[in-house]
Amino acid sequence: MAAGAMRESGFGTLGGAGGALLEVRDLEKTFRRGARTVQAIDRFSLTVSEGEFVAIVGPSGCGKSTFLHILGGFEPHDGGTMLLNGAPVRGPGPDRGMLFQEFALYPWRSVIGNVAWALEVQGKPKAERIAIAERYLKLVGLSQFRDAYPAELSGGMKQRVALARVLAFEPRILLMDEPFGALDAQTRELMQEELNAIWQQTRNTVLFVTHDIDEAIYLADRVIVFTARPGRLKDEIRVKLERPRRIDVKKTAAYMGYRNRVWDSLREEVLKAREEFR
Amino acid sequence: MADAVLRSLARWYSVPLVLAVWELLARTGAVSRRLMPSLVEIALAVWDAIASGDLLFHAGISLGRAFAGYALAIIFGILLGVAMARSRAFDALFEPIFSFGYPVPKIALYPIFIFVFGFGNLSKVMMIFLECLYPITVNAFYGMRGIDRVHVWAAHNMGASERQIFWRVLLPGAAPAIFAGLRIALPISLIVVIITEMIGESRGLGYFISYASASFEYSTAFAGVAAVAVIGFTLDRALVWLRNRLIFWERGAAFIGAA
Ligand SMILES: Nc1ncnc2c1ncn2[C@@H]1O[C@H](COP(=O)(O)OP(=O)(O)OP(=O)(O)O)[C@@H](O)[C@H]1O
Ligand SMILES: [Mg+2]
Repeated sequence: MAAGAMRESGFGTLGGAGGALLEVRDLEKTFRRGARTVQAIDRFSLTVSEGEFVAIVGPSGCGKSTFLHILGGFEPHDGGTMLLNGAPVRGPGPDRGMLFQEFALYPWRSVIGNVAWALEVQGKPKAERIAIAERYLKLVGLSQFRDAYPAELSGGMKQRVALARVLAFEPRILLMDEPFGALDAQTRELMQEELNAIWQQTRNTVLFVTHDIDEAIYLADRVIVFTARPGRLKDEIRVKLERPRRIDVKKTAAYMGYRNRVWDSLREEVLKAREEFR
Repeated sequence: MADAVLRSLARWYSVPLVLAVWELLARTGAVSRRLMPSLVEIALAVWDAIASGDLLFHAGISLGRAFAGYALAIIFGILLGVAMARSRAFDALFEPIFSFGYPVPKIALYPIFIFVFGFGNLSKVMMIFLECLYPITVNAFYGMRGIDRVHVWAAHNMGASERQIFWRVLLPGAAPAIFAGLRIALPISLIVVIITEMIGESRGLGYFISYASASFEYSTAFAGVAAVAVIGFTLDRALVWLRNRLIFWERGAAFIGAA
């Protein structure tokens, strides 16, 4: 724990209490635009332990992205506390690696250039950053495409580059906002398998937002269900499927049990969210 | 090979078509020969004007003025557009000026410019500067404003400094829009230099054209017009070439003439 805490600059070496890496308490967020206000998050609390893979599901517009943006330090919040490894989260920083649904690759940088730039801004010498970038490109299976440009890649490949880019700066926690949302069903399933395999090697702490219940259960140790807006904690399901998981775990009875649980919990909220649009 | 010939034929056939129609109108006398000389006469006039050194002399003068105004507009336009996009205070100060001024033909101010800057180079350069400033500033502004917020967030996420974000994310992100502004402004600089040279001037292609017309030497006047056309076309091609080298990641789409 202590060694892990020293890895990142700018944050204290206080160990998280009882293995908790991230502690969010009573988080509040309201968007204001003129006289209009939208309460996106209402007293949301969550604790994530080191090495845990947590998936978040919830109806559209319930504040999942907002939650990740606040955690990433991109958006301000109105109340509550967020502790990462015991220290309050203030502003964006490389201790949290954000993976955007839109990939957010720089089109003027090659694949290796995108990955290496994250290391360049942190002042790593050139030889070292190329070596690290190549290692992570290999991990996501894109070594042959190191000199290609984002415009030449498919959606799945772009998201793999984006994944290599955040992994390369070794964040304490990965924040993934529907990273496979823009992909077709087949590519999506392949990416799930790949992420699962990568996670098996790296054992990152992950917060993974998705609309896809199957994806959530297959990947996560725990599935969090958000209520309809304003987002609150609705339900929490521990997924005790054995690891490493193969994709055909989705055919087991245990898996179907989890699936029904999450779906029942989520359906109520989706219906509520739909009521609001009437 | 034959394929390539066919393709360039399909792409450029309008040029010989226009020339053929011109020649037909001139030769049949549908339009007076004096107003519309034949291509051969114009070609001869071009030859004469080159041989005497007149055309190159006047073209050099015009190009110098156009470049001076255009270069100033590039420097100040990009600085201003970027500053407006980045700072509320700058935006509040200049936004109204640019919104109101954009559709106004600034050339209407030329008499005042002559009064302030005199009849020489300065009034023309300032006029070109002002006309080119608008499209360059406005495009740079929207280029900077249009940058995807996730591109900036991703950079913040890596721990990039504001300075790194400006040079390595915002500027390349705005570059396509900035170049679009440069391309709009380029022919404007030529138009304005020609117009201003037609008014009380004794040098430059504008003077060359208006003097020839006033002397009823229409083929010489058209030789001047042809020179302006060739210069404009060449400079535009050069700009497109440069743009496609610098903004290699975004080919063609928004920029006609990428090939
Ligand atoms: N910048 C903003 N200004 C105003 N309201 C916003 C802003 N961003 C988000 N919202 C509102 O906050 C609520 C939560 O948005 P958010 O994007 O977090 O939802 P989400 O759970 O990620 O939805 P989805 O699953 O569709 O991506 C929505 O009602 C949205 O309209
Ligand atoms: Mg979202």
